Amino acid sequence: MKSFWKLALLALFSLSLFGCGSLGTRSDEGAASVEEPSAAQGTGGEAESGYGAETQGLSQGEGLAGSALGGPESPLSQRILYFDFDSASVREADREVLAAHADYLIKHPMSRVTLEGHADERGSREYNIGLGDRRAQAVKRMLEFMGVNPAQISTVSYGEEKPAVAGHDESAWSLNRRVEIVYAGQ
Amino acid sequence: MSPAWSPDGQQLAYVSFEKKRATVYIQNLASGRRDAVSAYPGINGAPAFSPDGRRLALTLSNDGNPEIYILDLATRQLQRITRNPAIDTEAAWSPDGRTLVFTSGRGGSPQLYRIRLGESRAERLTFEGGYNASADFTPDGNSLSLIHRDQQDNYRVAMLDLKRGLLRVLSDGRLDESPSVAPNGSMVLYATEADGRGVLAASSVDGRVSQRLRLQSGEVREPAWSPFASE
Repeated sequence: MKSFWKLALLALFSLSLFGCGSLGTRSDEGAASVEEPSAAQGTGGEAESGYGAETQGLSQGEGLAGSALGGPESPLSQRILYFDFDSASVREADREVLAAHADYLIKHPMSRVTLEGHADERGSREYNIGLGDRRAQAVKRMLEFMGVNPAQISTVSYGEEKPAVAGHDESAWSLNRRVEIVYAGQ
Repeated sequence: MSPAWSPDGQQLAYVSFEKKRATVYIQNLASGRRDAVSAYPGINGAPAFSPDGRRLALTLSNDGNPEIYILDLATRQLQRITRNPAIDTEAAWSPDGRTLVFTSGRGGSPQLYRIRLGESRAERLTFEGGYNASADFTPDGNSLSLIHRDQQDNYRVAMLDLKRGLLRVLSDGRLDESPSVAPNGSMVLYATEADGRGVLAASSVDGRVSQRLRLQSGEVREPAWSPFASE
């Protein structure tokens, strides 16, 4: 009865324009995106600048100038948080970075961020959409807890659909389980 | 992502992120026209037509976390099916249109659950292994194809006999996903990985025969059998 089958193979070559993009394309002039996992970044020279000290170059109430987010040394330049497998818990080491973003958002009430949640490729695509959403929501809740107005934050989950790194092993997967903090106008 | 055929084969529902947010579209294949049927804040995903084509199961996170809803396509009324803080997604309709099988993390890890429409209690179906997801019914309604993670952490296609509760693994890949049962119930199409890229493979439901489908180049994902053309 083969003639009655329609075998329709839907090859989805990225309905939209996703691929394994390099995160370098996201950088604006002022703030370079840092791609290494957070643990490496949090203990560098910027640690002592901590809370609220990166006021250099901040212009009050303006839109998003690249320099307002600090240079590559600033914690605000770190826009990616990483997660353990099947987990949506924000890592302890990431709290300081989040605090810096919270501080910026509070001081610039017109600024807006989108938190993009992602998962590694393993398992169900739709369940991974759920996982990415849980991660983005966890970061959002923490920013709100730190005093940010929820109206400044939106979230989206891409699940496993937009990997940062190609590869089928833990070294790639660990870099794909992430939330990216994307400022509007970036 | 997540293409889903309407039972009459005329339409395709799918999820698109083209606006940097998730939207479920239903597209008419002949005319190419499409309709955004779900664009709530948050997740709009996992579309699945009911067997009578009148309803669409959906995953929405509009109420706070991913839950399953049924959208009446005529009235556009939403009916909420799950109520649980865990991830609930991937609803699959039984052929008689009376029950949904879905993936839920409510037990601590992704497992398959079944709920009879009109009732509120979901019954867990899978008890082997720490990860069971992506259910698709056979046409006789007696079995499901699914993705099962085995003891070596391989994600493989398996069949679950619903009457006897027996699970049988069909595929032998490491990262298999998106199983789709053929309309004649004898084969399962799924996505697997070969030489670092996504390819399709098919396995007979009894696990005896399997083959990889050759395509020249590129990545292939998320196969979906179209319905039978009626005679």
